[in-house]
Amino acid sequence: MKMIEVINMEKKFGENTVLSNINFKIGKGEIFGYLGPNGAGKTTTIRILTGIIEPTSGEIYIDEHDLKNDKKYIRSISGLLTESPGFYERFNAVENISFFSKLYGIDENELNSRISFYFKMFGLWDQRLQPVGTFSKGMKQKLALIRSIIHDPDYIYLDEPTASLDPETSNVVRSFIKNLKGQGKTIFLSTHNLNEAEEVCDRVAILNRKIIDIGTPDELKGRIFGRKIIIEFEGEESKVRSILSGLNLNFSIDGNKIYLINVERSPSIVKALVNSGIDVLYVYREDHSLEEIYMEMVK
Amino acid sequence: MDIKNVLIMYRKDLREIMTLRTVKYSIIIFPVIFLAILLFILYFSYINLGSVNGVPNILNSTLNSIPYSSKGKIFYYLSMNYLIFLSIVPLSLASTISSYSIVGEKQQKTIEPILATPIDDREFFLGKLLAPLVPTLGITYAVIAIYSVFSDFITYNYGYIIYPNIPWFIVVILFIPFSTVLMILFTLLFSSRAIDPRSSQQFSAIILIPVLVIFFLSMLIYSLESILLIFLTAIVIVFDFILFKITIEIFNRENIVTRWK
Repeated sequence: MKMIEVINMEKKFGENTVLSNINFKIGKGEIFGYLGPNGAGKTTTIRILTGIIEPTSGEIYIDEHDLKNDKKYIRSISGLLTESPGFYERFNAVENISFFSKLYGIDENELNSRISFYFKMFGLWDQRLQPVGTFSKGMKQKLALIRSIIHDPDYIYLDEPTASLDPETSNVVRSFIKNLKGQGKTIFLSTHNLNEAEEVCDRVAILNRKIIDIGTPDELKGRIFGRKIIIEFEGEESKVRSILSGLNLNFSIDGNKIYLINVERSPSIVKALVNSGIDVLYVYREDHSLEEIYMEMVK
Repeated sequence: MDIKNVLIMYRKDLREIMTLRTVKYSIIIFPVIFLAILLFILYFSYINLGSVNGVPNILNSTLNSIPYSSKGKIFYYLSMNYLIFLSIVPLSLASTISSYSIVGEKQQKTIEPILATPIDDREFFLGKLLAPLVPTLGITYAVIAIYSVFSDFITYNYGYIIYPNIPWFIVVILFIPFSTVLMILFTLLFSSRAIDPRSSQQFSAIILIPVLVIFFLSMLIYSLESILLIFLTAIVIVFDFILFKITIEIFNRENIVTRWK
């Protein structure tokens, strides 16, 4: 099965341990978010997974190949969007993409058709023969995205893909990431943008030199804040208290709001309240953003 | 090792260097001016040549070992020495080209995307070595060809031609290529630590000192010419080997990504 598997990965630079005890699996077609503060080891993890640097210890399997022995193959099926785009400023956009594509072994005819397809898709066709030095940040980022996928890789590593981009370009990039998922690509997304992670990622890992937690955004919310249901009511608080105490629930009341903690089903509770003459106005689940989870975890 | 990747890297570097106006002009203008000056000196020497009797005593045995007429001896002596002096051309060109090759990658932050492709460290390194070597040798050999034909054209008047001869072959086939490689390795080594091309060029210019020493040495002990040149070339090859080992260590991807700033 096509996947990324990391087992007990550790990375040290001299005496400085940058990553320790890193374990995760990423399935085919999954968008995996990698969140963490600056210096948490996000870029180092990407560099290791793309075979740019070696881990100090641990095992990594990508596409059932051991990274230790098959770096060249793994690099050929991986695409990388680096944190800063990095292009030859005096070369035009096509020359830049052609150079990198040749290193991936793409033949000339195939390359021309891919260049035409992606440049049109990202709205860079008219600027294709302009030196990259004249491009805006957003244009360079789009070009870097093209470079990361031009060889049709199965695994795509995106390091801060929307950092310092305007909202419109960020939106284009996010749509493109979702589009890649639709094509069955496995995406490793390192980001500071928690809304973005919440929007596009199937699962996220929160990292600070070691993995603090991994799960879907919903799972993480449940683990950190518990599952809270809020019932807004109109009626006597003391009456509500006695009804809920009789149901043996973990709850608290603040004004006209009842907070039910880790309650699986709420209809029977609502029914009990209504039958006792309490008016139930709203029932809803308390929502937390990924940002709140993140702040709580890295505290 | 995939030679195709080496050539892709080499062609890209060469093309990139040629887009730099300052480098493009300096690698054309410097050899042209240098050659023009040497040809002028050579011609000026020819029309003002005196006899062997007029030269300092220290050169008597040297000049006596040259099997030509009196004026021919002096011209031969001057021409051969200037030929060694021409080694400054490849060293200077190699330093200029290779310093831009590494610092340019660093300034444009293109190293990481390259290392993410299937290219391996040796292919990357050899591409970087080849990019300055080929144009440098091409231009140098053109300069030497013009210089040699000009010298032969003058000595033809004395009834003989100087080039090619054994010392010429040693200089052209051994001394110049190996000392150019040495200069490139030196520059690559300095470039990995430099943040701008000029500082790496200035550091690598240190290597010009031994060339000047060789030039002045060869003027004094001319009769040892071939042996001296072989000896010097052997020293250069030893340094090439040592520096190659050091540089290949520095061209380790972990070093490149984490230490090249």
